[in-house]
Amino acid sequence: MTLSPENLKYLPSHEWVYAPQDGSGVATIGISAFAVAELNDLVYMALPKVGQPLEAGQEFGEVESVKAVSPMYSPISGQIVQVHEGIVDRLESLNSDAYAGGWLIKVKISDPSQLDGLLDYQAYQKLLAQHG
Amino acid sequence: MSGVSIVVISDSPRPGLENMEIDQRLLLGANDPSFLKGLDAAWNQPAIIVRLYYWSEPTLSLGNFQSIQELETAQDTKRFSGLKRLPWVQRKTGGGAILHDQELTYSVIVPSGCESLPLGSKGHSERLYRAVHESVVEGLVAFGLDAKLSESCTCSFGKGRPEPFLCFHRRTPVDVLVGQSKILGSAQRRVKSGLLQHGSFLISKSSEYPDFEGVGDLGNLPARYQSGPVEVWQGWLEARIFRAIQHLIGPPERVLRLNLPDASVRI
Repeated sequence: MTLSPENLKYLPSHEWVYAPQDGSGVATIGISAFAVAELNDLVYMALPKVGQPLEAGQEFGEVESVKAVSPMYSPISGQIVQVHEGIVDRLESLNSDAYAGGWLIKVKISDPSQLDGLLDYQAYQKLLAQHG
Repeated sequence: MSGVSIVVISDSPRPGLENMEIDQRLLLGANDPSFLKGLDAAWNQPAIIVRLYYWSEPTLSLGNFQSIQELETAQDTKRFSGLKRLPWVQRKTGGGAILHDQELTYSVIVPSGCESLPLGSKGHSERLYRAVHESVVEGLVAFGLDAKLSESCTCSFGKGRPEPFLCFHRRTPVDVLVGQSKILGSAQRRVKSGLLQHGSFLISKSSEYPDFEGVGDLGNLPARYQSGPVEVWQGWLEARIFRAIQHLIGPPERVLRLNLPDASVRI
């Protein structure tokens, strides 16, 4: 299973999580291409530090577009093991790749069952269709 | 009826930190009417909140991602070293720094799930932003001023150069201009409970930074606005914002107006 939109789980607030079945227990988290388009012209992003614990639904960072600051929420609980620090200096790259190259943090999952409560790709597409 | 209620708070001047803490509390409690119950025991529903206020002393508010150290190196502030002596506070909304002196600040808080005013799901709400600014332009044009929305942008994304430190040196589409002078800029913050829109309306030049003209410096206004106290403009701006929200949601179900002339009143 590769990190592509069809293989991800989503929050209604447009964060995605990729949890490969490779035994590592480490999930990758980012924001969807839809979110990047909605935010429109990202100017700043703040990401957390490695080692920080996260609860599902907790803010893990903030992003500022031209007119708004929006928090980003963690889909799962766990501990941050890696942060994509370079992305904050080239936020424009999220416009072309919000997924494999646009990941934001990696988290050691503490409760894998939380993944079952997230939206799959089809449910997320349905949500986007409702947004029009 | 829109099914949505509006609470309008005309607040007294307060220190910067208190002003920002109040807006943050109103935003985080946007879906919880308990705050409003403290002001009006009969209140039992979330509402769109409009708060008009000014500051008890000249104060800088920095955008969410700005640091006070930037003031040391910013090109647009180096002629005015006095700015460094002013108290400052961090805003939760984005954009550039604002000198709160001879100006009015407003906040609009919209609870999430407000069906009459859907906010979208990420980023800024163009509808709310534009509606407030268009209403202000309409009011200023009625005074005979050359008011309009900006179409230019000094935005830094992808250009590798910093934006000016001060908000009123920046231009983004839909800023309110009188002639070429920006007199109103706004920015937003979105959280799970709702959306906060902050705006700053310049009334007249500040001696702390006289480069920026306010609305009173830019044309022949009716006498009560030309020389009137800030409360006159507070009432005017409140009416323009109220009109903008009504335009978006229709007639509100209920309106609660709170005049808080005493800063000892806790919000």
